[in-house]
Amino acid sequence: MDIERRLREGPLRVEPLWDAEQTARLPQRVLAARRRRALVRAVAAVSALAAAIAVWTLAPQASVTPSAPALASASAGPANLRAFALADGSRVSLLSGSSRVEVVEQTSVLVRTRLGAGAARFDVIRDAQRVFEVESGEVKVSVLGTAFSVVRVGALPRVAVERGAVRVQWTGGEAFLSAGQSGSYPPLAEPTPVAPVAPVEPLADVAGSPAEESRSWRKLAKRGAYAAAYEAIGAASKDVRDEPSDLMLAADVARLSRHPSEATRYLSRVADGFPRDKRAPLAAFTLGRVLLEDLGQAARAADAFRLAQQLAPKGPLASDALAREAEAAQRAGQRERARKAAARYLELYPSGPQAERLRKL
Amino acid sequence: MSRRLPSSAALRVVPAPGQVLGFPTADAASGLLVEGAADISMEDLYKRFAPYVAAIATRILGRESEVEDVVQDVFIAALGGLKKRDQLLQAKSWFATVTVRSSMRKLRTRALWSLFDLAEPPQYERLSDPAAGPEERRMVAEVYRALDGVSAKERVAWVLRHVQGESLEDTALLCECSLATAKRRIAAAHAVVKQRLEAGGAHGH
Repeated sequence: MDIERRLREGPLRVEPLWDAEQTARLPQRVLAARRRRALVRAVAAVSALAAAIAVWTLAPQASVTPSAPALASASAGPANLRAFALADGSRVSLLSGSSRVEVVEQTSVLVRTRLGAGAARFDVIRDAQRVFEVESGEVKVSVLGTAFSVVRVGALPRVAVERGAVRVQWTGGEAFLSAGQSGSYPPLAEPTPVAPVAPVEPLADVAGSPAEESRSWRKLAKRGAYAAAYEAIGAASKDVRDEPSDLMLAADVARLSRHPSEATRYLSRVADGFPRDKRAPLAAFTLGRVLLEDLGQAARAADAFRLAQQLAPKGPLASDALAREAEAAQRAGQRERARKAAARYLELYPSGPQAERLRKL
Repeated sequence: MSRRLPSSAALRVVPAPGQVLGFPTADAASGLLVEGAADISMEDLYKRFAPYVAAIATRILGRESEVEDVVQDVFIAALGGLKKRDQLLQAKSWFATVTVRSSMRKLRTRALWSLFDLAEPPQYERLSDPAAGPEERRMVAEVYRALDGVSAKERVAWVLRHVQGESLEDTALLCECSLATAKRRIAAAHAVVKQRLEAGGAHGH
């Protein structure tokens, strides 16, 4: 039996083991099998639910999300913690009994949620093609991949970032927070009486000792009193420690009190002086924004956005930084650079949030 | 208005090079359904594609008892998965892909049962086309016994190429692997088949 010779003549001839009667019988078989499978799935789901309830009831501590953030202190206690997963794998943990989170929109490019009340922690799966947003009052928090908490106490949502970076936007302004930073938004223009706003604390202590804190610019900054904080820095600039947390906070103070040139000094120091720090890419990115939007120095801004990409090529800000580099280069008249940056963005993120705009660039 | 196919009894499929199996209509070559495909009912799909699915499953599995299970699985998937119009317009390739996947699962289950010696003994004598001569019928049965000794992936690739008559590119597509991988799998299975047939031929002489 020479298989080679036979196959040269054509495929082997095999008779389908099937007849018209089987075709006629098939719909009933399929429906019956479908019902059986649905029943099996329902039984399995009920069993799993019963098991989960049993575990929850017998061992509530075991069900609590591990390493609950500091903001969880605002909740009524671990027994009230609840969590759910979104379609993209991101997880939302409700940190208090009164927490209310609504999923407004869920597509492959945008997940939009709304924190109506209470506190919640968002552990967002990284996906450069998708934007994850949390709305709370007038504030919108946008992320690409990170973990952060939002507490809504009264009218001012408070955002605390555990990992990655987020952009907080409100009418007339925006802020960028990186890991360890927190703040209440929109920031207040002037110092306000200390209200019972924060039963929560930031995730990382960006300030010094409590005694020092009480009289320093940091406390003013954390209350959102940036103008007063800037004045305080001006009186004793040596108070700004040469380390990323303090420099970033000082940059926020300068920027939000409308002293962009001062802000660039602090931001440059973080980006250039601490390139391995996790806040360095955010510093470079923010530097680019300040140079572009507040100071009109587009060419320098393009360089800063480039630096943000170089510091964290796979970081959550990389795609935005690339898009902004294209925009800044265009504004600076560097057309070839703008074209290249836009082309690279479209190559890396063909359906990214800036793709449409950059195609027109 | 959709055209009616002849009854499945008339759909006896004997593949020849370049022929599209189990779908002998004018639109078969394109793989598209007729105009107004979105209006096609599940009943139409059963009539049109059950023989096609069964033909692929038969060629891959070689065992009648498993073919009906695979056809059933494929149509259960079709009830849930063939909803979008663009899928419906490419129903033929959709059915082929899902049939190959389902058959692959069946082969793996079979391999598992064989570890415990619980797999059914192979019955490949009925497989050949009745029009085939006795030597070809022996060859087909022997080929399928040889294929029982190769991995599911290699078996599926070889069958799609040499029994189903698919091109190398389509074989790779259906196996969901690269062209090079498909070639490698076909070659690996072919070596086993060839060795078995040569040993059988020598023994016969």
